[in-house]
Amino acid sequence: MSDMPPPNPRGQSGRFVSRKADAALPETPPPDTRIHPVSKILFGWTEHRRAGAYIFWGLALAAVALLAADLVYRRKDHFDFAASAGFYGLFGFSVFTLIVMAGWPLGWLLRRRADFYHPPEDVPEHTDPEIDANPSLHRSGGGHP
Amino acid sequence: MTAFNPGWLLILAGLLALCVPVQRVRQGIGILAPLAGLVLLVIADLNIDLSTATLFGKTLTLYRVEALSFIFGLAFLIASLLHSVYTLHEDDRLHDGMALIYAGGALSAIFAGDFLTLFMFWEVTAISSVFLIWRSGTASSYYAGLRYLGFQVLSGVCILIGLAFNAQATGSFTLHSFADLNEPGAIFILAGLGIKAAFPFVHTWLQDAYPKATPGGAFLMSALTTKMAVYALARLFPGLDILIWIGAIMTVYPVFFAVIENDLRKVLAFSTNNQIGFMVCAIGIGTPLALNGAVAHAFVHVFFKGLLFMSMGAVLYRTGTTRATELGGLWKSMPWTTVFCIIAALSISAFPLFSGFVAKSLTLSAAGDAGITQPQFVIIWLILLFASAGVLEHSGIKIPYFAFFAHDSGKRVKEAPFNMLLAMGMAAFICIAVGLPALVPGLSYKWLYDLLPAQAEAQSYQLYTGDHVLAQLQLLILAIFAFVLLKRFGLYPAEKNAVVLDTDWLWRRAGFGLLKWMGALSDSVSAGLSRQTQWLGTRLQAGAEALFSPSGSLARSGLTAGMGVWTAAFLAIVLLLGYLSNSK
Repeated sequence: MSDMPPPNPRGQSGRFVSRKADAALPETPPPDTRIHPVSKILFGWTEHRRAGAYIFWGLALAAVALLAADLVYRRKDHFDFAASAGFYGLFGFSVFTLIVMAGWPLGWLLRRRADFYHPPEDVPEHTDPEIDANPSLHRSGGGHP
Repeated sequence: MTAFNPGWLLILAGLLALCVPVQRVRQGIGILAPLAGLVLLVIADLNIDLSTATLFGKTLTLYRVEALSFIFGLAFLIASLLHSVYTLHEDDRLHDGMALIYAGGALSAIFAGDFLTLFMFWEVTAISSVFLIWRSGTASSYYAGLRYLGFQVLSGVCILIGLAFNAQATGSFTLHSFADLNEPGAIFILAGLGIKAAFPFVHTWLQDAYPKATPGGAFLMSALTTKMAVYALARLFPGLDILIWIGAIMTVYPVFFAVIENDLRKVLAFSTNNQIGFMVCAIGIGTPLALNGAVAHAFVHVFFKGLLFMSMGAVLYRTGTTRATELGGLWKSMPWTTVFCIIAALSISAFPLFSGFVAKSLTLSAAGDAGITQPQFVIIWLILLFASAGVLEHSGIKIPYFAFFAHDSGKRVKEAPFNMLLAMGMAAFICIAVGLPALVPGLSYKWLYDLLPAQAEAQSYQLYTGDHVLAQLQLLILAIFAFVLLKRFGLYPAEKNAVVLDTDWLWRRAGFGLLKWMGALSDSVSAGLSRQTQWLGTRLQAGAEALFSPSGSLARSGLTAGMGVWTAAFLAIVLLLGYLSNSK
């Protein structure tokens, strides 16, 4: 029984309880000190909790703007259907969706276990000799399902 | 000096590197040889036979530079230089030497003016490049190398048969383009080139071999092997109709495989199929604009696909894997590699201001032009547009997203070695410099267009028009928006650590199983036959012994002695008659 983790004191009933619980057992992991300094400058913004929303709405705005541009700028093209407003945008959106959604049945049909042709192997040569010494690179610890 | 083939220089440098045990000296050879090769290429006179030889009474053109081979040669030499920089941290004599010989073989093949020289150096590349796979040192790389070698040698054999038929009919080995496949040897030569270009059903050597090569080897192979085939197709079969549909099919099917593939270097191999498809299709269309598109695409592909392979090679070097399920969050520790990978992704997706846009626009315009008069080209144009969105999915988004962002794998590694970053930076510079509009002289797409074989079409083509840019941005931005939506709603298929079946299942499982079954059947049949043969032999021997041995039945009877006397008497009569007849 001593190996069992202590029960989570965080409650669902109110902000006060949550704050107290956070103070007692912070669930937010400590800041990662192993981040490359250049990484923080270039890509640190991606860790902002609203980064996903910014990207989503930014792209949505860009998409609308590009579609709207077709209404004010008369494109010339090889074919009449391609010159119609929003053709490329709608084509790109629908084709991309089709390709990705095809991955579901294709995966079911074509995927086989990883050792189908040959058993799992060690790290190949021409790789960093320090790989074995880095605990974050051990296969059992690093991967996600 | 202008007649010295840069390919031979690299082959000699490679042979020298194989003999030099000191790493620093080999590094110097690896960098200086491609640089010297670039100088030799730039000063070479165009469209004349610079080096010839005579074999069996036939003249062989060993070195001839034309507009088409010049641009391929330039790309190959820069790729060889980048490879040497990229692998500076490695101390592998065999790898260094074979990489130079491989690049030299590829250069010598494209500068060949006859089929026989092309064939000889075609085989040099096959044999030397396999070492770049084997040097990974794993069992799977060994078997993948064998399969790769089998395909490459088969490609050479097809070309050899084709050139023999052609030489018999024409009396010469001189390279010439074929008008159709009815010409002597044309079908064999096309088959040989098709294997090398990874046509459908013979494409699996590419997905098999590239992901198992060393990081540097995968980069160099992506730059050279298939591009040699593209060069030869453009040289020998421009305007061949069947290539249009082969190319169009090549652009489509890898897109679906790449969606479910877990190994990111294998995704890049599928992406190579897709991109070669664009080039093959353009060669099939065959108009000057389309051929410019194929050649420009081959040139920029060497660098943006090379950069993608280099970035995944850097990830492999530091983490030991390129499986998407084991990666993610690497932007935290490999920021520069992330930046270079994104530049390559933008380039291959053909975003305006990057090199892919410069090349792909030519091919799409050529297909569109053809579609105005021939309705079937409308379908081809739509297929190419479909494939453009597919490229964005697997190479533009999947590669950088799953390696550097997505789920944080917790891997905290060092940034790639400086020499790797330097090589990636050089490739990234080319990806951007070739894609820019003509604002700064010498640093724009005009530099590439000035090198294309059909100059009139290249100079008159308007790339950065509102029509092109708006259409391309619409296609790409809304496709990216589709990706974000699919991820947000959990509709994007999760990566799984699995093998994806392809046509190589036919020989790796079904064919191998059939061979094993036939072997077992042969063993049991021969074992059964052996028993029967042994029984029959024993009976025959026993019977013969019973008859003819000194104690046998023939020796025991009185008849035997009588027969001996009668035989002697007949022999004596024959001899006597013979003597008497001669004496007269």
